[in-house]
This record gives sequence, C-alpha cells and structure tokens, in this order.
Amino acid sequence: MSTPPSLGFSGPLQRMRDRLSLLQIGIATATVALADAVRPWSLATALLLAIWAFVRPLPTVLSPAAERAWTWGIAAALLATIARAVTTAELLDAGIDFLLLLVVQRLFNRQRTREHMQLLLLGSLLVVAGAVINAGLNYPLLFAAYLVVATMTLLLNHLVAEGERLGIRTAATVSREGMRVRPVLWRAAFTVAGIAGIGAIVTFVAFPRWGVGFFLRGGIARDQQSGFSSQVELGSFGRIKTDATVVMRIEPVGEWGTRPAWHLRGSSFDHYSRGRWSHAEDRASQLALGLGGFTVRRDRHNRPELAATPRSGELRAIPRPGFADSSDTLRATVILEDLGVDVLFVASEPVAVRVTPRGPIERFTQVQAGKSDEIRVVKPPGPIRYDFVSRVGMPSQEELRAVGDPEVPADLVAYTRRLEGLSPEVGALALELTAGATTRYDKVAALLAHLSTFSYTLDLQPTQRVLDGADPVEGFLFDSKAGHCEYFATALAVLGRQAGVPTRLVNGYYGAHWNPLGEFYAVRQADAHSWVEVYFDRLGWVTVDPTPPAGRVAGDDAGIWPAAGQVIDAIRNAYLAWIIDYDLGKQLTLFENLGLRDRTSTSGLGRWRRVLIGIAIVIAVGFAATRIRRRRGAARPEVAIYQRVLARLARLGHTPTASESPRRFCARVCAAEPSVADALADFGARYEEIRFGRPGSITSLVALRGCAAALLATLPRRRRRP
Amino acid sequence: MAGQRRKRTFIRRALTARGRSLEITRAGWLFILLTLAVGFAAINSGSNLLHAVFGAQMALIIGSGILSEAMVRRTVAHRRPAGDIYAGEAAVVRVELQNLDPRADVLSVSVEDDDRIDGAGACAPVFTVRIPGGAQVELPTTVIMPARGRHALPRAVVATRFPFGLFVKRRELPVEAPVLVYPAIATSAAAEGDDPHAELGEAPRRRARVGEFFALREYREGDDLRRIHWPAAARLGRPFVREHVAEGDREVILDLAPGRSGDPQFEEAVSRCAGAAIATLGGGSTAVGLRYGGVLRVPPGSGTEQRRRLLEALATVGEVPR
Repeated sequence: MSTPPSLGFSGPLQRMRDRLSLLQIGIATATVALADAVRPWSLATALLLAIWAFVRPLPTVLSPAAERAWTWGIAAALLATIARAVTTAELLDAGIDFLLLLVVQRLFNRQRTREHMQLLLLGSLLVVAGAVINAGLNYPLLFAAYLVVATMTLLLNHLVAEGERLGIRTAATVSREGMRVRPVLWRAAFTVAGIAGIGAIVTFVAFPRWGVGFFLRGGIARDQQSGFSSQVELGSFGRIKTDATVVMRIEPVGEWGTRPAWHLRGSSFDHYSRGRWSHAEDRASQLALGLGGFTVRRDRHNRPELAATPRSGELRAIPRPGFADSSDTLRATVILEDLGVDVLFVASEPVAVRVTPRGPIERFTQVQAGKSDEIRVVKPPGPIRYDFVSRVGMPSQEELRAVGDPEVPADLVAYTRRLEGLSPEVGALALELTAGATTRYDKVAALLAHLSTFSYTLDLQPTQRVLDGADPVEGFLFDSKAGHCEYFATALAVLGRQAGVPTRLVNGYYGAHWNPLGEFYAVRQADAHSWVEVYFDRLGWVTVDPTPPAGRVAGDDAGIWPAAGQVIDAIRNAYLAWIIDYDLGKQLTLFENLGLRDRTSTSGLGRWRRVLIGIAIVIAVGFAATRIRRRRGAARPEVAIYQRVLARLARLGHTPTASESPRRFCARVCAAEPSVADALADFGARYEEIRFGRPGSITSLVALRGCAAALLATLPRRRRRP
Repeated sequence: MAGQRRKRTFIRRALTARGRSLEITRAGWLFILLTLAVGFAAINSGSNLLHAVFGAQMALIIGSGILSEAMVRRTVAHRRPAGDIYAGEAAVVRVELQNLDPRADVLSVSVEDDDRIDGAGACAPVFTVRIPGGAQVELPTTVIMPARGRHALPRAVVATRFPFGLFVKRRELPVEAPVLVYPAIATSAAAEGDDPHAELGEAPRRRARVGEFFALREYREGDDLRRIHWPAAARLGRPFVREHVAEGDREVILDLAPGRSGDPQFEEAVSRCAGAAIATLGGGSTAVGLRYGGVLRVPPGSGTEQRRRLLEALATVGEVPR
C-alpha cells in the first residue's frame, strides 16, 4: 500500500494566501447575495461550512476516502441541481447554490495551489453572475475590491506555486522572502488591479454594443416576494410607510411642477372579502402596439387612446366628449427598481407605455394588460426603464355631475358587486349617507364628506368588534374612525358599492420628491398609497382619494440624512442611467461629446472607420518598433548599449567605418568631442573588453550601462551649428 | 503524450519572437476560456457590467504580459561553475542575477534550462522572489554534464510566471563560454608503483627538492644547505629553506589506448584511467604521467596542478578536432 502524497509546505505566505482566498470568495459571494440571488438558508449554510473549513487544521496528507466522498457528494449535488433547474425553473438559484457548494468543497481541501486557483476561478464565476443580476450600486464597489484582493491572491498563489515546483527548500525560502516583500507585492497588486480597472472602463465605454442575442429565447421571469403583490390585506401597510428606500425615479418630459401630486397606479383590485382585496374579474384591458413604439391602451370600444399632434408630433391622449381636460397629457421616463412585482407604475389614467430594453435579453420584455387596467410586464430581474403617457386631466364637478347616475354596463358589474361577509350595518350606513344624492358624483361626495371626519393614523389597534370576528373595515367605520389610506380607500369602495357606485381599489404611489442634483423625482417606498377609482361612464375611471391630505404624503425628510440621501439617490440614478442602461445611443452620444464622432453624420461610419484605421496604424507601428528593438537587442545587452551611443554619435556626425574597431572609433571621436574624450575612451575600452574579451561579469555590464548613461547625458543632442 | 508535447511545442513556437517565448499554463488556458466566454456573453446579452468584467479580464491578460516582459527584460544572468565538473556528477554552479533597472524591482524570476534545445547537461532551476533595483543576487545550483570534454553549459533562459502564473515568459540568455568537463572518476585502486610507505609520513622525503614547490620554512639543524632560499634569507635576515611536494619514489605512467570520444568502451577506459590517476596521486608519493597512444601527453608529476593537468588531458582525449 502506497503512502498518500504529502500536501506540501505550509508557511506564513501560505497562511496569508489562505486568508485572501477566503476574502476574495467572500466578496464574490456578496456580489450575488446582495442581488438577492442566494437564498438565506443556502448562504447561512455556506457561511457556517466556510468558517468550519477555515478554522479546522488542514490535513497534511491526502485522504483517498475523503476525496471519494467529496467526489460522490459533488456528483449528487450536480444531479440535484440539474433536477431542480429543470423541475422548478430555478436555474439561477440552483446554479449559484451549486457554485457555493463547490466553494465549500474547495475550502475544505485547499492545501495546494491548484485548489486555490480553482477557488479563484469559482470566485470569478460568481462575480460574472453578479454582473448579470446585480444592478445595485454596491456592485462596482465590490468589483473594485475584488480586483485588488483577487490580484493579490493570484500573486501569492503564483509565488507559492513556484516554491512547490522547485522543491520544499525553495518553498520555505519563497515563503520567507514573500512575507518580507509584502509591501512590494501589494503595490504590484494595486498596479495590476488599476490596469484591470482601466481596461474595464475603456471596454465599458468604447466596446460597441452589438448585442446579438444568440441562444436567447423568451423572457426570463423570476419570482420574488416583496412590496406589492396580487393581494392586499388591511393592516400590513404601516411598515412600508416608514421606509425611505427609493423605488423609482421619474424624469418628466416637458414641464412638470416641483411637487407633482399624481397618483402613480400599480395594482388594482375589484374583489374584497374579510379584510383582503384580490382580483375576481377575468377580463383584461386592451393593449396594442401603437405610435413611437408605445404599447397603447384601447378603450371599451377598442379605439386607441393615444394620438400624435399633426404638426409637432407630440403625443396626446384622445379627447373624451364631456371632459374638457381629457387631453391633458403627461409624459415621463421612469427607472423602476426591481420590487419583485410585474406591475408598471404609471400616472392615472395610463394611456400608453414603452419599455426601453437594455440589450437582447430585455428585448423579450413584454408589456401586458393586467386586470382592472393594470399594466404588467414580463421582464428579467433588475431595474426597468420605461416611458409612459397618461391622461392626467381631471373632470370638473359639473362634468362629473353631468354624467348623472347611469346604468352600469354589463362588463363592469363586478365593480358594483356587494361585498361578502359585511354586516348589514355597512349597507345601511351607505344608504343613509347617500340618501339625498341623485347623481353618482353626489353619492361619492357624500361618502367623502363622511370619511373626512375620520382621522389618519398608522397606529392601529383592532377594536373589540374586529376581535369578535367582524371585518376590519367595520371596525374602522363604526369604532375607531381612524386608520391609514388602505382603510379609507376600502371604506369608500365598500360604501360606494353598497350605494350602487362601481368602484375599485388601487395601490400605487402618491407624490414624489424633487432631487435637484440628479434632476429627477424620487418616489420612495414611504410614498406607497391606496385610493379608489370610480367609474363615471363616458368619462372613464376617475381617481378619488378619500385619505386626508396629511396622510397621503410621507414628507420630504423621510431619510435620516435628507441631503446625503439626495446625493445617494442622484448617484444611484446616474449609475442606472449611465452604467446599467448604457447603450449604443449613449455610446454614440459620448463619442460625439468627446469629438470622436461627427454629430451630423447619420451612421457615424466615416469617423468610426477613421478611428479604427488610426488604432490599426498605432498597433502596427508599435508592433514594428518592438520587433526592430527586439531584433537589435536580442543578441547581447552590451551591443544594445553600444548601439544607443552610436545612434547619438551619428546624430552628431560621427559614424564608424567598416574596418574601425569600437576603441579606435571612440579614439577618433575623442579628438572631435574633447569635452567627453575621457568618458568616450573609457566607454570604448569597457565595451571592447566585455564584447570581445573574456566573459564579463554582470557588474562590468552594469558599469558599461552607467558609463553610457553618463556619456549620453554629456553629449549634445544635436550637431552644433558652425 | 507525445502528441500533447508536439502541440505544446507548436504553440510555444508560434508564440516565440526573437529572444522571447511565451507559454500558456493550464490555469492560463482556463482564464483565457473564461474571458472568451464572458466576452461572448457580454456581446450576446449586451449586459454593460459583463462588458466591464470582460474588459478587466482582457486588461489582466495584457497587464500580465507587460509585467512579465518587464521582469525578464530587466534581468541578466550568468552561470559560472563554482568548482570542477565531472561527467555524470552534480557540480555546483553559481547563478548571478542582476537587475539592470536601478529604480524598479524584479519580482519572481527564475533561471532555467531552455527546454527547447536538447543540449548537453541539465542545470537545476533557481528562483528568486525579488531583486531590488540595480542589485545583484547570487544563487547556487547544480549542473550535471553527461559527457567529458569542452562543452557549453546548458542554454539558459530567464523565465517568469509573474504575476499570476497564467503565462510563462522566457528570454534567451547569451551562450556562456564553454567549460571543461572532466571524465567521470571510476573507483579504482592506486596504480602499481605506489609507495607503500607514502602514508607513513616520511617528512624529509616528502619535502625533497624535486616536485612542486610547497612552502618556505625556517632553516633547521640538518637541513640540506642547498635548499636554502637565499633571497628570502637576505630579505628576512635569517635562513629559510624551500620545501617541495615530493615527486615520490616511483613514477607511474598511465597508458591509455587510443579511442574515439563517445565510444562507450573508450569512455570507460578514460574513466578508469582518471580513477587510477586520482587514486595514485592521492597517495602523495608517486609521480603520475599519462601516455596516450604511445605518446607521452602528460609528463610525470604530482600535486594538485598535476592532477589538473591529468584530468584536463583526459577530458579531451579522443576528441575529433573540428
């Protein structure tokens, strides 16, 4: 039976490499973990195992049994990963979990340089995965740190590998010497990381965005659970109201006030039961591709709701009869963070939407009509950029009254359905409040007047009625008479339906905060809001907000340090706009600004061609110069030094003849250049001795180099004029 | 295996410019593949961050090339034998490494045999972590030369895998002056004629007037007056006598039949002859000479110089003049 092979020398350099290996893999894991691509249990398990692997003493000899066990374990995990990816479509999660398992396996067996190289490779794979899924501002910071740490780890691993290659005695020397020159190695690591960083920036800026999209089929959807969802439960709102996280940034196209008060609608619900709103209606609104790449909504008669103004081409909402401000249109560009929902937030009432794809993957992004006029999107993970056009004009009281109280169309009956599980008291209250109202508007106004006596609070205590099993909205209407927007909106929707008014609850955001640094409006999680839409026949769905004005907005100082928050928001917005959303258009704009592209050129090919030809010439000249220099210098270093001196002397008009030895030539030049006679004679003698005498030592070569340097410093650069 | 070597050689030849060669290590191939995959993914997906990662990886490859070139360009090296070299035996060689750049350090360089050239002998590689700017380091190593004669030491290259071990950059070094490789010394008994009393330490005889000069010492009672060294006596004011290494009582002329260098039988005979010469001279009292093909090549003598003369003669016997 053969003895298992020893796993080599372990010294201080190896320990330092160990620590850096762990650090680089930690940073790489953070790039995916911060994008929420690793499940918490998976991350925690990997972390615990990594700590165990790191603190336990490493075996000094290979254990074949342990190796076999790991091999079988990895094979089983690979099969499980494939099965999970196929059956649950969790390709990304399964892949990253498998990578983490491989990391743990390598951490448990990391004695040799080979294993550390594999750890570095795994780290780089995680960083690449992070580049695909992490659109956070943390990625560039982590990537910069990773470059430095991984470079240093590679350097140390290389030194250790050299020691391993040359035997244990050299390994010990290398370990000792390596530790001694740590500052030099760190400098080298920073230099190389700097070069890599510059390469990253240059490639990022200049590499043409071709985006060919091979192998991409269909959308990449991912299931996430946060923020908005397809159901809303009363009472779950308070936590969001204190969250200052920016969820979207809105850049208006054209004029927009400093404090917009538009309701940005997202989810919309038509069914309420036991404190829970959901979708009951099956019918989705109509959407179709229309003007300027926009997906345009169609009305109940399948007519597009968007048109272009004949002269200016400006997009306008189609006017509605009896609604003077119906063509009052708002257009804006939104960058929406990944909230884990497939809803686009647009100002009420949405008319058209256009998603700006960042690349071939996002070309598969599909805008779809949701229920109750929601606009949904099938998209890959990450932030999304889109434009919307909305009808933001509001009908006047007279226009609303003029609608009267028409019969509700058959396809909207779902919005008038009496809600289940409510006590008769609610219906009685609704009828009592709307007793004198003859129009739909009057009914809504009466209900709003009643709710205006209620107070806004986030501090909700269930009343005895609710504890006894009653619906939460009954507790709000009859007992507490205080609540937040979801209670107000639910109460209005419920009472309205009891009074025969078609209503639906809408969740979204209200208000936005102007960021003067980034020149955009920031919408925070704290701006989340609920309101009601009431159907007014030919005027369409009209936004009605029963929440007292004080409770609608979160205020401008939601952050702990508002000024710092604004700076971070502005950086984040610029990052999303210029890094994540950097595309061919932005690239061409940048080149135009840098003067590398003709602004008037439509294709830009002429300038591109010139730039490419210029680059090719520079590369060719550099290549030729290197070849010539190498050809000259390849023979011997002393010849290269001599040729340098000859070149300078030739510039001064002194060239050796074919039969002249270097010493003779120098002696001849000494007469013409008396100021350097001694140095020249010394140089000639030294050169001949090294070139043609006994093999010279390195010291004599260095002396010749010094002598040449002194000579070249003293010799004039050009021939003196007579 | 041979095919793999051929492929490797082909790639290295393709990546060889004058005086430089580049070899891609296994880790290097993996890194290049990963870079290409990331590049493909970046172009395919249009992901901006993948473009940045791709750029960083490309820059690492280019930066690696620039740094390794700087390391080998700054370094000059010479190999010099530190003692006698015998065929087939490890001999010590000093490797002098000099950083020609006074400002920048040289990191992680080694001096190795150029494995593309099938030269005589093999030298163990040496490695240094750092040579400070303008400094020189000297590292010991060993060389094994397989055959006697005048040979160049194995062709050396300055090599570096700095900074990441992804590529091996090599720079050829100028060919060193040839060294003389003595024949292998076969274990042998002293040749006949050896003085059996030599080991008894007969000082007067060992310090006779013949043979190589050994030293001066003060005159003692009974010394032969002819051995007084008059110039030294005049200079120092008291008598000094010359001592000589004894030529011995006997003379041994080793006879080597003519042969051709490289012929195994002849080489064995040379080896045996060298062994006998060393053993005989080691006794100290026998003068040893060498006759080759009936011609006296080395007249009899003793001492370390005679040893050198004999070994030099044996190192080159049978060589075909070029």
